Amino acid sequence: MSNEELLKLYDQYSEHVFRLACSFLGSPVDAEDMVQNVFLKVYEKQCNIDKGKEKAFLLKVTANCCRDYLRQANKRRVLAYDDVENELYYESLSSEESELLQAIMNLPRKYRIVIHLHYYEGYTFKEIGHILHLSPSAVSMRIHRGREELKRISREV
Amino acid sequence: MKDIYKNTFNKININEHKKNEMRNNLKELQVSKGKKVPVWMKVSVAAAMMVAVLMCIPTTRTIAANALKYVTGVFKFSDGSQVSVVQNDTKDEVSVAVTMDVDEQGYVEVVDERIYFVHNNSKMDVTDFCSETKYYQYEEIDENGYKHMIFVGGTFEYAGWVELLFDSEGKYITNRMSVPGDCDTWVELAMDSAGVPTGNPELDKEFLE
Repeated sequence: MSNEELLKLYDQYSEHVFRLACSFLGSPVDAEDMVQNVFLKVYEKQCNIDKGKEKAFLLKVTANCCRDYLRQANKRRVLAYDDVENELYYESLSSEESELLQAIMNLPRKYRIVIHLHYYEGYTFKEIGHILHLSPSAVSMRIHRGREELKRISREV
Repeated sequence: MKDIYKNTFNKININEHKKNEMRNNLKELQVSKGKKVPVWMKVSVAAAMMVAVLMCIPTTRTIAANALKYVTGVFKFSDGSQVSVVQNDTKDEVSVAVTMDVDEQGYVEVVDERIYFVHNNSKMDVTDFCSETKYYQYEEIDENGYKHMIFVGGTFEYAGWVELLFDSEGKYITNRMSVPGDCDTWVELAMDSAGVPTGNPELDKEFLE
């Protein structure tokens, strides 16, 4: 893979990688570092990516990198929602969007990730299963439970 | 739900300055197969943030405190990769450089559904030691007196490895790992058996007291 090809991928998908990493890590600062790690890894490994499947491939690498990162206990950071809000570099959110973000960030990680891939990226249960190494039924169950949990949290927020 | 979710996350973007900085870093990359490549990662942007982390997160307190004692040094892993930790002059920023082989595959190879521990030009079938909850363990002391504990575990579909590094006095320094998939019970059990924090509050009670 040439630098040009890498930069093309970066320009097209870095925000997608960042948002998934945000969902995984709950910290935009960590997520930014993860973006660089993901693209470095793709370049170093000189990965062959199937045409048309670039985004799914990058999100799969992101999921694996985030898991590795979280498993390294000395890098774990558990942030309260306020910390996440303070770290975010987003445009101003409406009150409804802010409430949703707060509820999402309070979800257990395993639900947060599948909900992000389904509702934001629009992947099917099968495709999410491929990205996260889960069976489609496990994805379906997590999305169902995540939605229930989201409703419960939203009522409390 | 879908629309509001998309609208919300569309507003969460990488800091523009950081995005350009990362793009420039990627632009400068030059990799020739087999050469060592230094990869710079930021581990902590500011001392204030580190303090905040120490104060806010009991689960990481012990580990972060350990890390602070090692803010300058070079730690070599068993496969030749190394981590250099550097603190800047004003002592408000810590950087870590990881040097690794481009071809480095870690310590695990899976062939025909068999898991092999690969190290020092040797290859050992450790399949029967490994499962979602079981692992193979290897230890060695390097020329600096540092102890390396390497664990290989998981199923053939999701085989992974963990390396823990201890100094010559037995103090835990750091770890690195590659564990695909969600089945990581063996990782927590391996780290717990070595007496280091796993990140699982149930197993880390002694570190949280």
